[in-house]
Amino acid sequence: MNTAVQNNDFVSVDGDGAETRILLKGDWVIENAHAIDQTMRALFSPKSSHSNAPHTSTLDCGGLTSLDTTGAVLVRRFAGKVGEHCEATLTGVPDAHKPLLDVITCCPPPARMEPETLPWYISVLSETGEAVWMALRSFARLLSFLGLVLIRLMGSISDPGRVRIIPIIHQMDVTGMRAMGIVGLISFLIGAVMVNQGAIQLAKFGADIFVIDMMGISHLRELGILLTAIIIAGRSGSAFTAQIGSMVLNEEVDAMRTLGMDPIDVLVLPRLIALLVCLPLLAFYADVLGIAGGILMAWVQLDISPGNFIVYFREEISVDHFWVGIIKAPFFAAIIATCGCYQGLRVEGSADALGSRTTKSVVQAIFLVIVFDALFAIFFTSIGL
Amino acid sequence: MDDITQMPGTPALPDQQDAIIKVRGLKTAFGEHVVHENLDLDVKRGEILGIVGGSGSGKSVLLRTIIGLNKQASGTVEINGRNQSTLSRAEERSSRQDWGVLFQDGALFSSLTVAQNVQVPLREYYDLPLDVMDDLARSKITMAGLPLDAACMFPSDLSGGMRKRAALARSLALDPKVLFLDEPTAGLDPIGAAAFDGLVKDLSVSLGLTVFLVTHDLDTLYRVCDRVAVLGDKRILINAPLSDVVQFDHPWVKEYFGGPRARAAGIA
Repeated sequence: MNTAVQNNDFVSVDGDGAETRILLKGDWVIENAHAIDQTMRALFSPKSSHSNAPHTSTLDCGGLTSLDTTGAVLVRRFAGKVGEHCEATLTGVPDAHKPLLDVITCCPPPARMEPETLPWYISVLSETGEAVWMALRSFARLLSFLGLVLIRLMGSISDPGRVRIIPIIHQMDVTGMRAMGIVGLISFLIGAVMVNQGAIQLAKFGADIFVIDMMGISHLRELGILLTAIIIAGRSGSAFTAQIGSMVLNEEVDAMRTLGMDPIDVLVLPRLIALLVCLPLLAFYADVLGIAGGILMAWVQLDISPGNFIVYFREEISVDHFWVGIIKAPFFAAIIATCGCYQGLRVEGSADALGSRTTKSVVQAIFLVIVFDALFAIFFTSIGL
Repeated sequence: MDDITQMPGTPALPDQQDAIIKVRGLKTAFGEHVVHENLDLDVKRGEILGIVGGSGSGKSVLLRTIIGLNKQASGTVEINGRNQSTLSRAEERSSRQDWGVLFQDGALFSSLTVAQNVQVPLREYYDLPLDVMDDLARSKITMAGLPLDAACMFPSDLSGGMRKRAALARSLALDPKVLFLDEPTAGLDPIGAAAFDGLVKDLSVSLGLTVFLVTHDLDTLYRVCDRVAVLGDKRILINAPLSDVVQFDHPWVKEYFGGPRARAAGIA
C-alpha cells in the first residue's frame, strides 16, 4: 500500500507494521466518485504494492457523512482491494448507511464477463466467411419468399375472392398517385439536363440535332424506367418494410395468423399488385415528362420549336425503344415489392432491427433493379432490339 | 394548504413541512377536455404513495405532468423544493437527477444491452472510469433482482418481468430521491408481481426512496403503499392510509374497495 497518500478528503491511513487503520470519511457520493477512485488507484499503485504490507487492516466507515449506492460500491471495491493484500474488516458503519451498505456488500462483486475475442487474423477470415454465407443465405431466402408470393398470387387467380381490392386501391394511391410529383419533377429535369449537356458536346461536331435521338433513346430505353424504379424503391420499398416491420414488432402479424389471415395475402399481395400496376404507368408518365423537359430545353437552347422536335422525334425514334423500357417496369415492380415486404416480415426484436431492415430493403431493391436492367440490356441487344 | 400561516412557536406539521412533491392548483387539459382541475397533492419524503382511479381519470397524465412530459394549463409542481415550471435549463438538468421513472413497458433503449442501458444516465451526467461504471451497472442490476448474465442481454431477449427489473435498475442509476412507477405490476404474474412489490418496498427502505406509484393492483396497494391517493372528479378525492381510504364515502371508492377483488386482496 502506498502510504505516501495518507490523507485526503475521503481517506486517511494510519497504523504500524502489523495493523493499518483506514478511515473512510466525507461524502462518498457519485459526484465524488471520480476523485475517490483516483485516491484508491493511487493507494494501490503497483510500485508500492510490495512494500511491507501489514497483516490486518481495518476499514473504518465512521467518518462517512453521506453515502449513496455509488459510494457503497466504491466501499466494496475498496474493501476488495485491501483484501487482496491482507485481511480486511469493515467497522463503524453509521446506522443511517447500514441498510444500503448491506444491500451492496451482500451482492458479491460481479466478475468480468467479456465475450471471447478471436485473434484478428482469424476474425477477418471468419467475418468474411460469415458475410459471404449471409449474402448467399439471404439471396436464397429472398428467392424462396418470391416463390411463396408467386404461389399465393397464382392461387388468387383461381380464387379471386381472396384478392383484397380496397387495400390494393389504397396502395395504388400511396405508391402511384402520390409519387407522381417527385417522379415527374425528376424526369423532367433529367430530360432537360440531357439535352442541355448533349447539345454542348454534339455542337462540337455540328451534330446538335442528334441530341434528340440521344435523349429520346436513352430516356425511353433506360433512364425513364430506371429513375422511376429507384425513386419508388426509396420511397415505397422503404415504406413497405417500415409498415410491415412495425406490425411484426407489434405482434399484429401474429394476430393475423391466429385469425386465419395469411400475411402474404393481406400485406404482401396488395402491395405487389398495386406496384405491378403503378410502376409501368409511372414509367410511361416519366417518359412523357422527360421528353417534355427535352422539348423545353431544345426550344430554349437550340431554338428547335416543339412542333419540329415532335416531327423529328416521330421520324427517328421507333416505338420499340418505348416498349423496351416499359416492359422492364413490372419486373422492377416485383423486385421492389418483394424486397420491401420480405425485409419487413423479417424484422424481429427491436426498433434497431427495423431501421437496418429498411436500409437493407432499399439497398437490395436498387441493386437488383440495376442488375436486372443490365441483364435486360444484354438480352435486348442480343435479340437485335 | 400553503396559505395557512404557521403560528409562531407551534411545531410544523410533518405533512406540510416534509412534502418532497407538492402539487398545487394543477389544471391539465387536452384541448377542450379538462383532465384535472384544481388538483392538490403532497407526497411525503420517504413514503410510498399509491395513486388509484378509474380508467381515464388521468393517473398517467398526472404522473407525466409531474415529471414534466406534459405541460400543465395552470398550477405548480414542486419536486424536492424546486418549482418545475420555472427552472432554467441547467437547473432542469440537475433536477432530473432527483427522480427516476419506470415506464409501463420499461422503455429500455432497444439497441443497448441491459448494462449499457443502466450506464446511459451515468455517462450522461458523470465522467467515471469504465471499470467503476461496469461495477456500478452490475450492482444496480443485482439490486433490481436480475441475474448477472442479464447484463449482456438486449431488452428484446428478456421476459416482461425481467424488462421491468432492468428498467428499474436504470431508473435507480443516479440514486434518485423519488421513484415514479407507472403500473409496475401490470402484465406480471401474481408471483412476479409480489416479488416486484417486495423489491420496491425493500429498495425504498435501503435507499431511502420516496415512491410515487400509479397502479390498478389492489395487492400492491395493500402490500407496499403507506398511503393511497384516489383520483376522481378531476382532483384528489382523498390522500390517506389505506384503512382510511376504504372507509371514505364516495361511490367510486366504495365500489373499488368493496368489490370481490378487493375482498380477495384482504382489504375490505
